[in-house]
Amino acid sequence: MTGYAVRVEAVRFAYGGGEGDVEALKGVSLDVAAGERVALLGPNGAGKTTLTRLLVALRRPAAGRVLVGDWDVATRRPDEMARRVGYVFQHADQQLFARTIADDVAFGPRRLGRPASGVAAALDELELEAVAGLHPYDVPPPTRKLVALAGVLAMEPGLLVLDEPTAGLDRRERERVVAALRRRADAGVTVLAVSHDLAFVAELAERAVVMRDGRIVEDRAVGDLMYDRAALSRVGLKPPTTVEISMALGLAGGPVRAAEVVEALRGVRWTQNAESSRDAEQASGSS
Amino acid sequence: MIGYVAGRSILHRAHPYTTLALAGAVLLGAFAMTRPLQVGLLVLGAAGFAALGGGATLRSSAKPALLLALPIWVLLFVLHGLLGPEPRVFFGPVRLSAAGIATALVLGGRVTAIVLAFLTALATTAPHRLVEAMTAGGQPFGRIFLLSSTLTVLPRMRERAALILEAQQCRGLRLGGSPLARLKALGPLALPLVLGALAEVDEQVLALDARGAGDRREGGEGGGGAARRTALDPPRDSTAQRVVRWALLVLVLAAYAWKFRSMRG
Amino acid sequence: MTLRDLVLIRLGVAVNLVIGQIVAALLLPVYLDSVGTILVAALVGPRAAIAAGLVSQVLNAVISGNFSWLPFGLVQVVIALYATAAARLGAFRSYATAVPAGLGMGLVAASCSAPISYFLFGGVTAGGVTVVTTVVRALGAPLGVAVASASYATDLLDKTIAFVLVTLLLRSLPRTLATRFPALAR
Ligand SMILES: Nc1ncnc2c1ncn2[C@@H]1O[C@H](COP(=O)(O)OP(=O)(O)O)[C@@H](O)[C@H]1O
Ligand SMILES: [Mg+2]
Repeated sequence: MTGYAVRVEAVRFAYGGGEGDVEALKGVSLDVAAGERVALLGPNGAGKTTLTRLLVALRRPAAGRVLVGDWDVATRRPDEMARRVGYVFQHADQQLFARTIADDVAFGPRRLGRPASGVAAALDELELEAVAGLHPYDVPPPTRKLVALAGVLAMEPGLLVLDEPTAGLDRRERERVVAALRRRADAGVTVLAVSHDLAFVAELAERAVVMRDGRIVEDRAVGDLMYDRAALSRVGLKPPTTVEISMALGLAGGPVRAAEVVEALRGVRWTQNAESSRDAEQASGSS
Repeated sequence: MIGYVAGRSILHRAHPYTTLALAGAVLLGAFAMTRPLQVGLLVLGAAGFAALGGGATLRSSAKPALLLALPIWVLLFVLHGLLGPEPRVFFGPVRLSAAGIATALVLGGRVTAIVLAFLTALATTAPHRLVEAMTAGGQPFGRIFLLSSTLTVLPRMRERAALILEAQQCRGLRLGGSPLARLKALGPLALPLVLGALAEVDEQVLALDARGAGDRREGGEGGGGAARRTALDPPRDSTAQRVVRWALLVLVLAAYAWKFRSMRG
Repeated sequence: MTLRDLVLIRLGVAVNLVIGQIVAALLLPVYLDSVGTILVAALVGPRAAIAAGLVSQVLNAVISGNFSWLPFGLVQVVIALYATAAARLGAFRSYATAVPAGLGMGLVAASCSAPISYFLFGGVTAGGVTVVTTVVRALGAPLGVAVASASYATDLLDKTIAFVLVTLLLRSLPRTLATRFPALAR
């Protein structure tokens, strides 16, 4: 699977188009390389959703240009963009309609004339095989959201754009999403995810783009941003618990993912003598 | 543009049933009238009714009424004027049917009067006062619930429909194409809308129940808001207004009696 | 009427009023604005369906401002009764029965709406029907024939598609939901 690069050039966009219109994007430029994993952060109303909708031709920029690979989005319809971009809506659980979950996941690939093998793979990646034969409205809404994600993965897009993919999901479901997205990214797919969930961002992304008031205000490595308490609080966010722990213990290397923090904690114990490490073990066991 | 406009006019202060009775009388009266002159008087009557609501009401009801009636007038002049029966009269460069023009005036006047009257009623009747009046008048809870709460669920439903349209396009569904392809696209678009709404029904019933809606016990401690069973501050009715409403009923009945008598005679 | 019936009626009204958004996006030459009424007839029963039809008619007027079409409320009542009867006879169990039942609904609905349109409005009502009427009239047909043919043409198409769509909807209900509607089991 080849990923697509994204290029957003000096894009402006306003809702309404009359008097009293809201300028949601005030000149946004962004380059994402093929295969990159990018998180789009920022407070409510920053313009994150608007930007992602421009990538799939649901809206047209008033000025500037949007490219996905070598396609200029301005010349495409949303159903054409579906060949390249898998877009997962914030309320994706509201789009299901088929009589079984497997059928619903198969809808996208069938529209695009893509092989049905993608369906089984997507169901497998999100651990949905057990419910594949059920009616989508016989499972709870969070599961429905996973089904919608599976429906997009099954289309085998080279660019995945997700709007708040973990909102409403529990920790276990969130882990499933992270695993599936990272697998796709490892295969070369570009991933762009809007999120408020920094624990999710820490697990998924390598680069964080922060928006505010229709502009990009930060664009840096996730590992870098997570340790910048001031920058995060400017957009109403705070570091995830794992990073808080790492900061408190002054862990080396600035670990971000939970597994990296655990690894770094092992390193801490390794440098201490056996006695104090046993104390630490008892302390953590009794807490 | 269409809807309640706050104010202190006599119509704003009137009992909601009186205002609605006036609009209703225009509606029923319109279909009893068959001559341009009669309908012209009815339009004037409706305009007078709108004027009772004060300047702001007149502005907010007359403009949309005319905008709504305009395409009807155009179609009427095409269908009855241009395509109407002989003999013809000349209006500048066009030859129009004489009888057709009379018909168009009657039909167009009807629509104009009705729309103007109801937009005036809409502009001068605060929705909560109507709900209070219906509650105090002993209207069944269901009727009040359906009229007052359905409008509140529409925005959400519209948003959902818009979202589904976008989401399915992003899954490769094309909105255009052959008529058959477009017909087939109805399934993926209409099903999520209805299935999603049906899946939420039981949850909504529980929420309404918890607020005490539909509690039929007399004098029951109904919760707040829409679920209230006893009117707190019912709009004041008066003998004069009751007389007006009865008089309107008599007028409408008389209009129909006259219409059918003159049809037979 | 139970609170649940009321919520279902409200849903039916919302479907009636909102489905036009989808129909318009597909540029289909129909309204489908009685799909909600037909659905409520099948799921709940005649009283609920009549309520859904009448409330739709009133709210449509409140939203659009076009109060002059209120007399067409009579057609809504007829649709509600016909759809209930069709549901009880099992018309929605298969497409093979839904299509003729829908055509029948179209005939009945047009037979009600054409006289209202002709006598009260001289054939000029909102939307596409009037365009069809005008075209037929321009071709030389008498006004009554023009109004009737426009009504029958639009209603036959509209109600047949509506019946097929409701059949699809009922077949697509999850089992957990379907069992909550005793009217479906009949
Ligand atoms: N459909 C719309 N119509 C009008 N304004 C909108 C619409 N959608 C979003 N906006 C406005 O555009 C701005 C950006 O919104 P959005 O892109 O949804 O932000 P975010 O996803 O970052 O929360 C906000 O001010 C929002 O109110
Ligand atoms: Mg958003």
